[in-house]
Formats: sequence, structure tokens, C-alpha cells
Amino acid sequence: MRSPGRDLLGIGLAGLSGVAMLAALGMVFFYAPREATMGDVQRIFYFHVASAWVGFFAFLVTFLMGVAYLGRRERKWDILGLCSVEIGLVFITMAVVSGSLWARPVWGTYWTWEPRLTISFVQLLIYVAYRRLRAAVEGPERRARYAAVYGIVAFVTVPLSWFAIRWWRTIHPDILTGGGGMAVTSRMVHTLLVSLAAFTLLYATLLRLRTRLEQTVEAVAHLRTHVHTAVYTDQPGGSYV
Amino acid sequence: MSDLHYLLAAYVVFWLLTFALVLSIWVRQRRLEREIVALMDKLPPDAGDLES
Repeated sequence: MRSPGRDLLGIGLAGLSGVAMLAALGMVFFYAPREATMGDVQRIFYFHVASAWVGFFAFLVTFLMGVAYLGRRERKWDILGLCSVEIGLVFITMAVVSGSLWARPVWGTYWTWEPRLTISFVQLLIYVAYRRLRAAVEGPERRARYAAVYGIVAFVTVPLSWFAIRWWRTIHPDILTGGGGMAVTSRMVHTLLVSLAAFTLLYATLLRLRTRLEQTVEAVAHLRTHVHTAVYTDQPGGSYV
Repeated sequence: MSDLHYLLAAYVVFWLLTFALVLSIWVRQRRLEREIVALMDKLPPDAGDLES
């Protein structure tokens, strides 16, 4: 059995994302201007949008891995889909929590059942159910097939969430059209772009770490079977000790 | 709570969730690597090649 060894790509990604996160933090607090109407609490917006972006991107990866798995039936696509969902869940949770903390001073409430927030909440539940589905289905091939189909169908929540603020009456700001009462300056755009790049690098790092963990889980399962077989066949009369 | 407290809370939540995810992956990875070593010790010397 080959030992995992040093993961140079993982170390490189971790270093890059660390530097990018520090740059993003520096820009959020020292480069981006104080927003005229909301004040300093608007600085939540940079990491809030970047968290939501990574959440959506992670679910897109799961969608694509689901399509790849159904086409090729290769285990690696299933592993990538699973790992991406777990990371996406963490980042969508960050987006929901940071959004609530921004909403309290700006809207006067932590939560309101408007379309974008409601869809985000439903999306969280749907992807938590993805994990539950995997735990409930017996057999690796069947589990991977069900998860691939579920990951493809669940992805409908991403465009729904993205377009919710354009299709329905909502109080959620739309940064692309400048809606929501926020005066967006060029320094704010630079800060947001650096934050998006930093979060994307962080996602790649976490996906690399999580994928290696899943590969180790499979290696241990394989080794357990091998040890069981070797020890069992060594015993006189076939009794396992 | 002042506006700065909300800002601080949002960034603390972000870092806490990130570190919790990394820590959870790291702890599970270490546990599995220890299990691999323990299982390798149980294998008879002539158990064959496990590279595959």
C-alpha cells in the first residue's frame, strides 16, 4: 500500500489561497471605501457574495460530476461530486449567516421570508438531504447513481436563487444592476473581485483536501478487506480471530 | 449591538466555519492514516502486493 506522501499541489494551493485571503481581508478593511448609507456593516458584503459564489460554484461542480458519472460510471466523478457538496454546504451556510448579520442593522431584522432568502434556506435543506440520501442507499454503484441524479436535479436551486432577485419583488440588493440602495464604486468592485478570486482558490484547496480524505477512506476499506481475507485464510479450519 | 459588532460577528463566523471544516478533514485523515498503519501491521508478511 502506497502511503499518501506530501501533496505538493495541495500545499501550493493552500499557500496561494492563504495569500489571496490576506489580500482580500486587507482590501476589505483598508482599501474599500466606507459605504455612504450603510456604513462599515456593508463590508460584510464582500465575503457574503464570495461565499455565495463558492456555494453556487460547488453545486455546479456536483451537477457536472453527476453528468460525468452517469456517462462514464467512474468512481472519481462520484467522489468529486460528494466532496463538492460538502464544501458548498459550508459556504452557503456562511452566506446565509453573514447575510442575516448584515440584514439586522440594515433591514431591522435577521430574517425575512423574501424570495432569495427562502430559496437559499430550501437549497440548504436540499443539499443536506443529498448527504442523507447517500447514507441511506446501500451499494456503492447504486449510491453513486442516485447521488448523481439527485445532484443534477438539486442544481435547479442555483439558477432559481440567482434569478430570484430579478424575477420576483424582493428587498435583496442586486449588485449587478446597482439595485438595493448601495452606491458601488470602482474600489468596491476591485475588492469584490479579489475576494471572489481568494474564495475560489480556497474552494480548490478544500476540494483537494476533501478528495484526498475520500481516497484514503477507500484505501482503508480495501485494506480492511485484504487483512480480513489474509487473516481468515491463515487460520486452521477457517476460523477468524 | 453596534454595526461594527455585526461586521465582526460575520467575519468570525466565516473563519470559524472554515477552520471547523479544515480541522474536521485533518482529524479524519490522521485517524485513517493511523488505521492504515495498524492494518498493515496485521497483514502477514506474505500477504502480497497491495499497490492495486
